[in-house]
Amino acid sequence: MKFKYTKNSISIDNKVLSKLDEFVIDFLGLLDKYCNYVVISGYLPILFGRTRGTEDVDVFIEHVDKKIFVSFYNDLTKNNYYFLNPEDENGLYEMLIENLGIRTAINDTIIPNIEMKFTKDDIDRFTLKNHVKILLNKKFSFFISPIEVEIPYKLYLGSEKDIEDALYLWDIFKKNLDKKLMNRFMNELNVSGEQYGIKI
Amino acid sequence: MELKFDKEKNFQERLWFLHHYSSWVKSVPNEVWSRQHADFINSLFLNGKNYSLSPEEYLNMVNAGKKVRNKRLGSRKVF
Repeated sequence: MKFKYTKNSISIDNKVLSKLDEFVIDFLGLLDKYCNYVVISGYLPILFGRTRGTEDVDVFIEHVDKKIFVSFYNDLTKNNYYFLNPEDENGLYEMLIENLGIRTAINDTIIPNIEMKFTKDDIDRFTLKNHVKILLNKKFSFFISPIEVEIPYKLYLGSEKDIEDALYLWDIFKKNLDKKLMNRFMNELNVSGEQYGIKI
Repeated sequence: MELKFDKEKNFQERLWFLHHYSSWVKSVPNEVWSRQHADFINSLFLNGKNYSLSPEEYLNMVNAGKKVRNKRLGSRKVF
């Protein structure tokens, strides 16, 4: 794998895009018109080549007012998306305010889907503020969580799948990561990856 | 009931494969790993069209899973 890594961006050229990549790019192209966002969690190791499936792609969005959300809702529904939740746009917005996730997918499908949440605490807001721009094939771009946050957070979640995700990201990016930043989040979340070879 | 499945050994074998696979990904051009990867992901994507749960059943399932996970983790430390 060849990539260009800076503090705020990762560029990958000549990547054969999967249908999951195309789904994410299409959705984020719509979302980007309305608010700041950051893709987190399981899609990230998959984006960088981990061979596992996922049912959903997790996205944090900044707090927006109801008018903006309704415009986004209308744009999505015009573009072949629907919400799995039975609530209308008013109910969906209420769910976001209550820090619940809402899920959208292409019409007549359930997986893959996008789960969106408002940022709710300091770590969410850090990932949104310090997002990393992904540039694929010099053509498609979107924003993801810093890898230095993602690895500790996956270790914190702690299932075998999450630990494997953390280890894969570490294997791919260990020469590029800001170890001081990653150590900060390891300490804040009180996790260690040493037993898995994640040594910072 | 006897169960000979060794969960820890199985996990270690999965981690070994993960290292082996990531080493391969890093050693080949992007066109090579991403083509194989896209074939794999696309097969899952196509199979998604055969998903048998309704949206309501799916949401019930994922929400039940989240409750179990959140109970295990407790509330996330805010800093």
